[in-house]
Amino acid sequence: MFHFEATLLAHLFFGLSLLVILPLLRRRDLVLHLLLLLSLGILFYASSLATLFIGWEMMGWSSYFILASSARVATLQRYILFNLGGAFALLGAIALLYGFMGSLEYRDIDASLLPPWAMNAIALLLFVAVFVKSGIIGLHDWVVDSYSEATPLFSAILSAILSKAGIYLFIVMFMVLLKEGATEPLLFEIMAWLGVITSIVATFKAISQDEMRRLLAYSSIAQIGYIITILALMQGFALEAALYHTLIHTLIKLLLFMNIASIIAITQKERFSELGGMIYHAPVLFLLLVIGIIALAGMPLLGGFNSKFLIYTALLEEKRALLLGAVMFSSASAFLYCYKLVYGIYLGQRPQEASLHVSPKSYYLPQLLSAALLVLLALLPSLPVGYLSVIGVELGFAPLDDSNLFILQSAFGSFHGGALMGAFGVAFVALLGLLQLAHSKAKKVKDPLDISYCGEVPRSETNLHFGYGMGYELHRISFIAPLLRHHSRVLWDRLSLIASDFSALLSSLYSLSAQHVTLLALLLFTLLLLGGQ
Amino acid sequence: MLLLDLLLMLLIAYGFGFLYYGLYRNLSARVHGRFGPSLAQSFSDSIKLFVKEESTTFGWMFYLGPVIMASGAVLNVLFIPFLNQGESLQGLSSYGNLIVVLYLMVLGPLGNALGVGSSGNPFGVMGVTRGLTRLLALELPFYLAAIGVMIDAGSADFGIIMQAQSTQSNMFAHPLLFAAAFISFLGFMGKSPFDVVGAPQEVYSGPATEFSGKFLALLMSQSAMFSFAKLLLMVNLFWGGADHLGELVAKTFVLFVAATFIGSVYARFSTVQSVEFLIRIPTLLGIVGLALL
Amino acid sequence: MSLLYFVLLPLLALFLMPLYRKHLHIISVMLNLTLLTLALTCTHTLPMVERVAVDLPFAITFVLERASWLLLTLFTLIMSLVSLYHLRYGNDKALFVASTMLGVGVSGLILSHDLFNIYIFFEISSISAYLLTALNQDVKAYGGAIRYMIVGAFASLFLLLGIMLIYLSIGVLDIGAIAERFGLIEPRLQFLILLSLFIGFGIKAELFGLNFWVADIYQASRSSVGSLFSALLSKSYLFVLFHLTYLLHVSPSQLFFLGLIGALTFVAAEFSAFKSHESKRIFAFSTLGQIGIITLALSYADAMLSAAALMLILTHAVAKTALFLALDLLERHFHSSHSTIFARFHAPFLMGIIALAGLSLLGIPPFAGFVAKLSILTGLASLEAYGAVALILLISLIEAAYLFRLLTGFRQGTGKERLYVAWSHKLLLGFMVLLLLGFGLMPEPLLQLCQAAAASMLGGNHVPL
Repeated sequence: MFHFEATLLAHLFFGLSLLVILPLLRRRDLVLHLLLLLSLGILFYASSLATLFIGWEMMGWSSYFILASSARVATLQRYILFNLGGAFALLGAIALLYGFMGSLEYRDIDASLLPPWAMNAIALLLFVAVFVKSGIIGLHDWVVDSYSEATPLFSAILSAILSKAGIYLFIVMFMVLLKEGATEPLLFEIMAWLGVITSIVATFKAISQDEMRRLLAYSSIAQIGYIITILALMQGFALEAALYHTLIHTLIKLLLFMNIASIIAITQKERFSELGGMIYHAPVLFLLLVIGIIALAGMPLLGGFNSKFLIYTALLEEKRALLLGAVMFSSASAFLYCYKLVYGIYLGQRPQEASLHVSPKSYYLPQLLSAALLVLLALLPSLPVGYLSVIGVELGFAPLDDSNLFILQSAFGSFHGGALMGAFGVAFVALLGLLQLAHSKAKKVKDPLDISYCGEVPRSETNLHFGYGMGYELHRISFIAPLLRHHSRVLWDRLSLIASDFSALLSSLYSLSAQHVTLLALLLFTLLLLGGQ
Repeated sequence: MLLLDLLLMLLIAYGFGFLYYGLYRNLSARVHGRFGPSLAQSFSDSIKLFVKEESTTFGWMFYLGPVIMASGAVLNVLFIPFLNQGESLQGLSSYGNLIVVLYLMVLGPLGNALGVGSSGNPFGVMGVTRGLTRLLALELPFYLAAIGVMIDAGSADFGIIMQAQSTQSNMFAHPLLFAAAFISFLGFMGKSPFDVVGAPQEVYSGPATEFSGKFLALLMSQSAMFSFAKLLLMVNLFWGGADHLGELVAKTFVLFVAATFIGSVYARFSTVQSVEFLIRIPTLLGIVGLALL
Repeated sequence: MSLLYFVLLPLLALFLMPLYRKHLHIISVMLNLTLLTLALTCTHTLPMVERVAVDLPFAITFVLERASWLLLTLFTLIMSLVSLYHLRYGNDKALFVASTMLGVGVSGLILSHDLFNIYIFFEISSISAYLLTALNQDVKAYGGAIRYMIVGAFASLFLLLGIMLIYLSIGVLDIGAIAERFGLIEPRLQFLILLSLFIGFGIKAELFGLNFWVADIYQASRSSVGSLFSALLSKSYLFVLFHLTYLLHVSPSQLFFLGLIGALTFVAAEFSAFKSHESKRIFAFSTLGQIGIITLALSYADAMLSAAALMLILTHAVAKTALFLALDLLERHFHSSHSTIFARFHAPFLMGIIALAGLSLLGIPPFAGFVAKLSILTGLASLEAYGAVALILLISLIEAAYLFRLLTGFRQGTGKERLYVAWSHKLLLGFMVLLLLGFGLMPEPLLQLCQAAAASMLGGNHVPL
């Protein structure tokens, strides 16, 4: 009965990305990466909840050991505790489900038999698992540190691939297995808002970062926030929008993280404040990054717009105006960090001449592949729609129209990818020709410091790259400042402090002398004797 | 035939863009008690700049920045229909929709920002940063209004949106949404009090700092066309579009004069102030407007 | 085949020591492998009864049914593995004597079907445990052994009190007979007897309130000895405790109390380990935690849960043995068992073994420990004991925190020392991890064995006189 086409999604998103990245890895970690790949396979091809959980957990610990080669201990603790916390919530849900179904096979699960309280409890537990993996705000502490402390290549895997596991889990559990369950609609409403709040907060946090990979980590959290929001609608077109965005986000993050990995390999620097002006050293990388950020910002002319369009129209169709407003707000705010990313690394002035290394050639392959796919998807936005429709139909939703690959259809209008690309191309070429043909000749400055600088002449030691600090003024805006000031980490740190205090208290019991131990045993005996009588 | 139509649209946008630009300088001068330059001053400035002997460039990205910016403006003009009926002056609007246009409006500036950044001038980037920071609050009320309009019409397609207003225009049907959109519109047009991006007295010169000669000419021309596209968008979304060219000119002119007068009398907000203002009053208007939908 | 072999063969080996005093390590391996083979050959002839009547009621009655067979096989397997591990380190008289005696003690404990013999084997295993603790012959070891002795004597006292009261009131010592007549005893005396037995076995089975000595003893003794303590000793006492509990038909409230004690054992142990940085101590606490879960599961007297608990006993024993033996290798090299040593060496195979055994211990798939844990959780859920499910899941996070912190050492630190592990040790440790992985991937046969054992244990498979 059960043949979930989304398992084929594994081929597309995960297999592809991993196969691109795998050849680049150091041999030492190859076994662990293969285990990771295996765990994804188990996760996607599972036919029982036990197998699903095996895949889920293997993914957790194999990625943990890969991460352990470069991250700090505190980060690792956070990574494993959050991930296992989510996994144990999943395990709790599975145990609860077993209590009612008496089986863990997918085909034996009939959610209509569940009483409402049990369905809601299972839904809440699954939410914890999904939210932790997706880095919903408050549960996102582990994401940022682990992305920024992983090896540059592993960051790409973490962001492009592993971050999608929560989405897969949600689809399998709520849209397939527990579809008939009487889940309280309020829970999905809360989930939708949590998703969009996450994306707004994460976007502002991304803007205020100085480290490239921390910025991208927050950006990942924000993008997955959209997907969570749209999935919470529990509608067919929303599912297709979510899957489309998952695909696009995988491509974009693969491209961006590999790009940054190249930059780190070239400069050995991680911060915007130490970078800048790389455009003329690495023009190809610059162009690839520009493709990435334009797609990330969701602009037309690159694939990123397609999924944004589907997300917006899905929300319009459900008449969720405020939710859509919040999503669009977050999406517009993302322009700022997109620009910061490209400016901080490639534009502006180079701070000082430091020795530059050569980026490994193999880093280019995933980038070129992703960029090509993003361009292709812009031209033929309906290319994956047929495929997504198959998944939708299998889950009981109506198929999308993909009769013309150039046109992306939705209930709220459509657009023609070819016309957009064509018009832009013609305008661009025509204007460029006009500029070239102009009587006026372009003269390149000899010294990059030859700029209009308030009538002064900047010298090489003048700091001209202070633009990397863009986004700092967000700290002065009254409604954003509190978001940037507060961290959920404080809460978790306090919790861990309480646990270790409690631990110290209890472990002191285990250092008692033999006399005290026997005395305590005697005391217990007496107490029980008195109490039992 | 289509090609001719498109060229005509660009020509109209170009012509009226510069006309309105000249008018703006004149009108605001009158409000300030000055005489102001002649109507054609901006146009002749752009031609003069275009034929200058030499223009400074900092590299290929700097060269491409204005081109991308202008291509964005061209696309905006082409993807917004001029008229609400008939075959002519519809451009490429049937290939796109409102959501496409909303995003196309940001494409050009972002492309130009790359050029600005590649010049290495910190003042240019300062302007871009201010623009993007302001943008995050500027877009929100406009988006809310646009969402309201789209839900009301049941489509993101311009034709259907304009058709839905055949009995009553959105300005009167949803006055709160219009108010929210209009305040944002002032910002989009670079009018006071939201004109901090290129504020000459504060930032050395904003995003245009390093551009000279033909690059500056291209930027001026695209700015004129882009302004016309924005007027067009407002007219289409809230005033039901135009039946014929005359009506179009009249409607855009009224809108333009209103924006100019308001812009001439207000003092400038700082970036932080404009964000805080936009996120409060017009956003609230938009939310209430959506609730009343 | 006589069940007496499991006791007599080791005793014979001990008596004949002077004949081969230079080759004790080889004899030990041969003995244990023989016992393992004997245990395996019993599979088809279960249940088995062996009685040597001296003079009633003081008869020696051995019973081997499904549950005790499972444990006996486990014990002989672990003993074989530990003796194989020591093969490389040559002749060690004290180790031979102590470990062989421990084997006699724990086998006797689970085989005996009368309280008199249970007491005897209780003492034998205790004394051998004291010897094992003192094996290192330094101040710490002797101190530990003396503490152990004081606590152990105290436990014996209570056990003896309980046995005495039973004999005085109904005049029999055979467990089957006791089970039949226990109801005749006055309820208040019944309670006193049960309480005495609980305290006596509880101390040895390391239950909360009675287990505050455990961590120090583990820390004082060798790591390889820790594996014997963890896998054999505590489990045999726990088995007898629950065997008696089921046979004597204790009241539901008393079972609930046992479950509560189990939960407390689990929580207290995991929290205590959270702060610890001494790996032997950490492993000791983790053993306590598992004992807590096993006690909790067994206290429901449910067929499925008891099977799961037996499964946990098996997987935990193998995983802990692997961990302690690996730790013993490290301890021999670094002369320390502080958790910092994990970051000081480079030996991919050993690191892999420790990591995988640790994962199984945590109940993380695809290892056998996961199957046990999942069975316990699903079992609890089908009894609607959701509180227990939540508790196990939450506290397991604490366990994960300290175990993963320990394992993180492998990937951290610089200037690591390359550590060579002998092939024989690699084979041995690899075998254990393969066992865990194999039974994790194909748990069905083991689960069936455990289910049969649980049915036998709960069915009160006692033999009439």
